[in-house]
Amino acid sequence: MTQPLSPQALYTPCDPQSLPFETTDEVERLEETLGQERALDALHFGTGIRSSGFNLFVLGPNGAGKHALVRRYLEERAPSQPTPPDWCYIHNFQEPFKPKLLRLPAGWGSQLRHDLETLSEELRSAIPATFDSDEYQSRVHELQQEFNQRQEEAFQEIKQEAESKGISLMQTPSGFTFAPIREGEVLGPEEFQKLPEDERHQVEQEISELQEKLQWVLRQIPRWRKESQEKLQELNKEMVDLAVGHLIKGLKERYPKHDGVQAHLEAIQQDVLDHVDQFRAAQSGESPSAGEEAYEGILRRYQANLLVDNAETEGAPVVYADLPTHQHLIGRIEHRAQQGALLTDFHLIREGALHRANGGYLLLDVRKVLMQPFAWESLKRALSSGEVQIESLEQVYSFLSTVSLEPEPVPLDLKVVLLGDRFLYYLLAEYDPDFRELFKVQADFEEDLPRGEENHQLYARLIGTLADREGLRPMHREAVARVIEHGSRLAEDSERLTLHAGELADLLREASFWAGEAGRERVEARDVQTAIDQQVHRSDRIRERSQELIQRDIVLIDTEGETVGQVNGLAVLQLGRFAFGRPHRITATARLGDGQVIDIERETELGGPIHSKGVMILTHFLGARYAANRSLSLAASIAFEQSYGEVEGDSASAAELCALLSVLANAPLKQSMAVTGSVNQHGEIQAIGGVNEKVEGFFDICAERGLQGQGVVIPQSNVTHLMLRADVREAAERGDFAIYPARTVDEVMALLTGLEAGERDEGGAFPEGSINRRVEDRLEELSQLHSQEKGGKEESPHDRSS
Amino acid sequence: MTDQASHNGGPIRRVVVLVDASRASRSALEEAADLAARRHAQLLGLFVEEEALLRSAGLPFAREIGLTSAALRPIDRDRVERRLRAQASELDRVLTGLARRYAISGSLRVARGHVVDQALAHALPGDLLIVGRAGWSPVQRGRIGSTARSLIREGPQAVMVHGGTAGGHATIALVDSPEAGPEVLAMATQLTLRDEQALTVFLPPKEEGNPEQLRHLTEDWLEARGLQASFRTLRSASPEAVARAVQAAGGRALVISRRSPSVAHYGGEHLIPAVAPPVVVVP
Repeated sequence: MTQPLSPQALYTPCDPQSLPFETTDEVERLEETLGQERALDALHFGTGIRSSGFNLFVLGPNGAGKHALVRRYLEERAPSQPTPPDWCYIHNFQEPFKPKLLRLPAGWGSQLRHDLETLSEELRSAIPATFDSDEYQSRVHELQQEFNQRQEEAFQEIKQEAESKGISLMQTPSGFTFAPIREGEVLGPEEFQKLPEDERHQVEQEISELQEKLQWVLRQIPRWRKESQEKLQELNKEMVDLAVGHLIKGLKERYPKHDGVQAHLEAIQQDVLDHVDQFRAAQSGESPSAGEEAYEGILRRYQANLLVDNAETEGAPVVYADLPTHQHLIGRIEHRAQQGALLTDFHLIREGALHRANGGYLLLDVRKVLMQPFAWESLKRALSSGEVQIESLEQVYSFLSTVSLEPEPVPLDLKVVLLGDRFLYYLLAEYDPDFRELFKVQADFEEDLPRGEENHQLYARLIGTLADREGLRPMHREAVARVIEHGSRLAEDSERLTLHAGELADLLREASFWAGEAGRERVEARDVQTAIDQQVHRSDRIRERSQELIQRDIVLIDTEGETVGQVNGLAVLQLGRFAFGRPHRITATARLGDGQVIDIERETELGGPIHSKGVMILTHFLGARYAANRSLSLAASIAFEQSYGEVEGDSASAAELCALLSVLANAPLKQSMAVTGSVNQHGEIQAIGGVNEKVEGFFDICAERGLQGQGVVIPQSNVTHLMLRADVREAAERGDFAIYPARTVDEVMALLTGLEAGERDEGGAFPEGSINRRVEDRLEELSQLHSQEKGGKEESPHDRSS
Repeated sequence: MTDQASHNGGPIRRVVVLVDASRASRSALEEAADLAARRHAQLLGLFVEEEALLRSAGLPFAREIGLTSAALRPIDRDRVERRLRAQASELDRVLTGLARRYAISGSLRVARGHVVDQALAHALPGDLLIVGRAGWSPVQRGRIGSTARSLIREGPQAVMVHGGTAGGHATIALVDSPEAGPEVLAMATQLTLRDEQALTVFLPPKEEGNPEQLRHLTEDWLEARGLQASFRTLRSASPEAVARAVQAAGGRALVISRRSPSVAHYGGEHLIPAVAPPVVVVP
């Protein structure tokens, strides 16, 4: 008969005396990260390798301390790496809607911006001063005079020539005409006819010649005007060179080795020249407000938009994007409303997190990225192309066609580190082919750490470091030992310790709080226990209600007596971070049938697939063990009584099998026992989850009714996971409650019935009176009944026809 | 300096514009309508059909050379007459519109003959006659035409000569002799857009006159009428110097006397083309 586990097997304590300190004040701080060697190796590899696509995905549960660890690792590494350059957008004088990008050594960007602002300021006063000068004005006047004079002289020459020949040059409504004059009067046709023929002929000839000359002069006028304009341009250039040349030259000397800056400065000089007329118009005050606006508009184009300023950055930047929307990642182009229209220019280009992190590291919560519309696609596009193209969603998806910019893309050289849980990693790896190409390095977080003397010491240092970092009260060694034990309970394994930094830190904070409430300077073991109890108390309203229902016999659970076909199964309910165990009555029925075992949960669609699988396995175990050579003529049903929600998991399959075997063997089961464990087709009992909660759940019911030696049967393989509560351990010590480990269903049946399960003898038969024999006999009986019934049915038609 | 009780020192009674169909003359007409409205004066457009042109158009070989295209086209008297009539009708329409818009009395008079004769025949003392520098033609603006020259010399009325570019804000009175002062100042104050707007008085250089005395006389004249002005003494009375001073002072019109040495001595032929804004010569 299986013996109950010794009280020592129910809990693996940590000996406070093994901790070499009095309080955590004496403990050396833990600088390295505990138990995450694999993740750290991956981080080392992922951040070191320069090839594209080797971005990182750090996977682990929430609250495991991924963010803090990755950030600390990167911030330690980043300062020794080169500081990335500054990036500026400047006006593109050839294609104004495609702003140019300037890459400058770190710190130069703000200098250039300042220099260009100063240049604009200087131009603001220097250009008007130049065009306002007496020198310029008088030279322009001279040019105009020169043009006028040239025109005048040509006309005058013709006019004088005409007059010398007795011909007048007259204006018509749209031009000129020549007419002969005699005695100061223009000749009319009659007078003209009176002239001698020779004279007439001569006049006509002369007028014809004059007409040709005048035509020539009129044709020259556009050319002269053009020449005059060219001279004016020359003059403007000369004046601009004078006003601006030395400013530009001075700046060019400050950026001698930078082609982009040199080219931009040359473009500015040319642009000033191209816009002389606008400068003059603004300055002459013909339309002061419009002119000034245009003037400011021109000067604004000479300045720089410093997109990324790394002047203060030491080493590579480490950026965490808290709200990774499309715009926050890749930047945006803002617009300003002007007289009802939305306008933009290169000054309104705003950087995104990718720009800020360029040359370093960008940390992103993958869940947040996936929840922001289009953010994931935009991130992938940037990483695939190796550059950031700032585009609004309206542009990308052609929702709107406002005039916008196409800034030159910024080349990307950064590592993106995604942080998220495993589920998302595997989901993306499965369904997004780009993901595997872009995030080739996974840094998988360990969730626990093996227990042992050495790791206890390290864990104690981790506790001390967390307490210190959080500014908590120092912890006594007994308190640390209790935290270590609870760390094991959180890991659901007596041989491991949780690495879930979030939960651990919460426990320390709360324990420190309760110590403070109790007026203690240091945290003691009882404060840790109070913290644990309070955590449970705050969460266990539903558990209390559930137990109350059982105590009031509204939910029927027997904890004494024996019943055929009825067993106490154990389930775990997870409510947020709190889980508790709760017994369930499982019943089975059996009658003659076609070999079906009906899972009522599945039939009502309340059972999940794993639960159904468990029931199918036990059905086939039954058939294979007891009816290998004949048909299983059984119609059985299994139900979770008073269960109105969905049931999932196979941890009740051993209990279900026991209920069924009990019915078949007609052997009553002890109701003082509860069973948990899954069963395989060979009848072996397999490990389940939440063993501590399940045992404690049944214990709580029994304890309230009065402990009389009740117990729980658990899989042998779960013994190592036991970290049971103190009251359970004390009851076990007193012999009031027992935990039985079981390897096979036979062991469980023996425990529940007090009868021998029985093994087949050499002849293949189970011992008389054993559970297995009784089951086999009953199945044999059913099989025969089935055969008889079948034979009778086959004969009856014949009978009727005869 | 005493105020002469002549028409020339009095208010502008009528604004007469010597018009043709050009754009420049129409824009001058518009300005004239504005001035007439402000001074409660009449507006008269005078369109002269040049007799000599009509005669010459009758010649068998008559040709017109396009001002812009330089193309040679045959013309004849009928065609020129038709065109002149069409232009007169168009100008009449424009003038009627302006008269209505500015609520003034405005009319067009069409006369045939020699331009100067007709202008002199229609102009009266107290008129302000507006003419183009060399007609309204865009060429030959660099000099003053014979028509404008004759009207400045002979007419009983003030003549405003258009031709350059306007754009300033100050009316400038060139006061270079005690005798001419009142007429010049009276015209300048009438041309001033608003009472508070700048009236600038140019005084001759010491070599050319007595600026101190002229300033006192001018100040007295202005004070008697509750007016103010800023003063500037010219460095030289040469046409170029006056033109530069007008530009520097932001002049929108320069008023000068026919008797001024700048006109009489240096000759209006030089001064008027040199000054960009319109020049008003008072008799």
